[in-house]
Amino acid sequence: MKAASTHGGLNGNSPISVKNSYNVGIIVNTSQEKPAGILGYSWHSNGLDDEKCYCIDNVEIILNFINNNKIHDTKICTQEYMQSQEFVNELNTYVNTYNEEHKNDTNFVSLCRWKYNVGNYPTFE
Amino acid sequence: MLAVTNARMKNMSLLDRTVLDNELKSEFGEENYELLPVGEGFLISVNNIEYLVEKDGKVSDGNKVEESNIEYAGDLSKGGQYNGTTEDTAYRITCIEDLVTWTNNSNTYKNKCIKLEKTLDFNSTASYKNAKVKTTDINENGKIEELITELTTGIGFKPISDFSSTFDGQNNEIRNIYEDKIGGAGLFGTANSAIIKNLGVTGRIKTTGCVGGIAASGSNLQINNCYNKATIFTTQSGTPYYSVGAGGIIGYGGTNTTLRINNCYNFGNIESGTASGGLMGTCIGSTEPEFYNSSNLGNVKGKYAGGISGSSGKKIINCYNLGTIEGSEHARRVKWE
Repeated sequence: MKAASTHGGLNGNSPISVKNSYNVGIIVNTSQEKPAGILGYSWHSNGLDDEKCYCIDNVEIILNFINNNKIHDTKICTQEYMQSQEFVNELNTYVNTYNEEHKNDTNFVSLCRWKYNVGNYPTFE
Repeated sequence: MLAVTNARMKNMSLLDRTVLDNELKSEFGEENYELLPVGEGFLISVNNIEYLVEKDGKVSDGNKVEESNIEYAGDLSKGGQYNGTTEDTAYRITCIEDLVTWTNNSNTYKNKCIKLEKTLDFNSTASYKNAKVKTTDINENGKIEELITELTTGIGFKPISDFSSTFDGQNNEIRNIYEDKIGGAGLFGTANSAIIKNLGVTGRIKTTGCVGGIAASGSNLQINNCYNKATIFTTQSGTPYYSVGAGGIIGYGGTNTTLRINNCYNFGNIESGTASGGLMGTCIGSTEPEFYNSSNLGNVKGKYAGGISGSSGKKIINCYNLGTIEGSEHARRVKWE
């Protein structure tokens, strides 16, 4: 028997698809279940497609999920890595690909590029 | 001219209005200062320098108030240059009175394009055409006080409702907004089929219902390039997670609609007994909120809590959270084999 938390670094409780995003915030859990670095509790009968999500290694699990959720390249990282140029490059690789692949979509929203901050986490350019 | 220093202000007895009034009178003379209740403290003006005194006695640094260059309250208050039919001819907001006119006549301006011409601070007389005018009991405390007092005490500012056009903050701020009310709270109460962009909000917003720094609720709504620094709080608890929420940008997304939040930030602390999110509290399941290029830096606390969305959503793409997320007891326990 497993139990899901309903609070997470990016989303508490929902059928939501998360891509190319990160959480480094502390997650305080006052319930009995484990908090999640990205999604507290995700449910969707058709499954979700979460990819390229990152959270710092201060939480036990990345996300709770049921049904057909798919996770690609979603991982717990060290602070050192998440403050590195390498991490920024990884985020920007997704941005470049996404913008190229979706630029002709209706209501296309261009993704912002990330910038490296010495001794701190990436922010947008 | 009296040489007022911040140090001198800070030596005064600031917690009692009568004592403070007497000290100011003794120090500066009756004609040379003004004392107005603002928020939970006081605004003291001496020689065109304003000091905001918090309820704990903390005094802000003096803020030099330039002579008002507001020739007239903007189009909403006085009519005039623009007609609001397009973004080019959008109504201009130039003072707090314009915001009050707007919220008192929401239906009139429902479909009008509106722009904020300058940063407006509810706690500064410089943001008003006449902060000391006494008109109506806006804050519903049974007294008719100066406009600046009415808007920063009691229930405070009444949200703009039913907006269905384009609002452009032009990268200005609405500062020190204050609301303590029943029902939806935020700069906007409801915004449907609307675009809100280029705006920052600071202050304190407390309610019993849905709450967001920009909007309490909305549907078919785009919010672009906005941020919230206001403290957001709702007393709601025990309600279903999909019906009431607290968020830095929007509290609740309406039914069967789209909601797109792009390039938005939350710095304010968010707290509720239901769904709390750095950007959005919650929405009904059929709504499809999308979050792009956005982040949360505030602390978020709720029964359902998330850095971007407390509950419900469709997409979170290219976002990050730096704030502390605190989830309280469960509204329901979800178990599976």
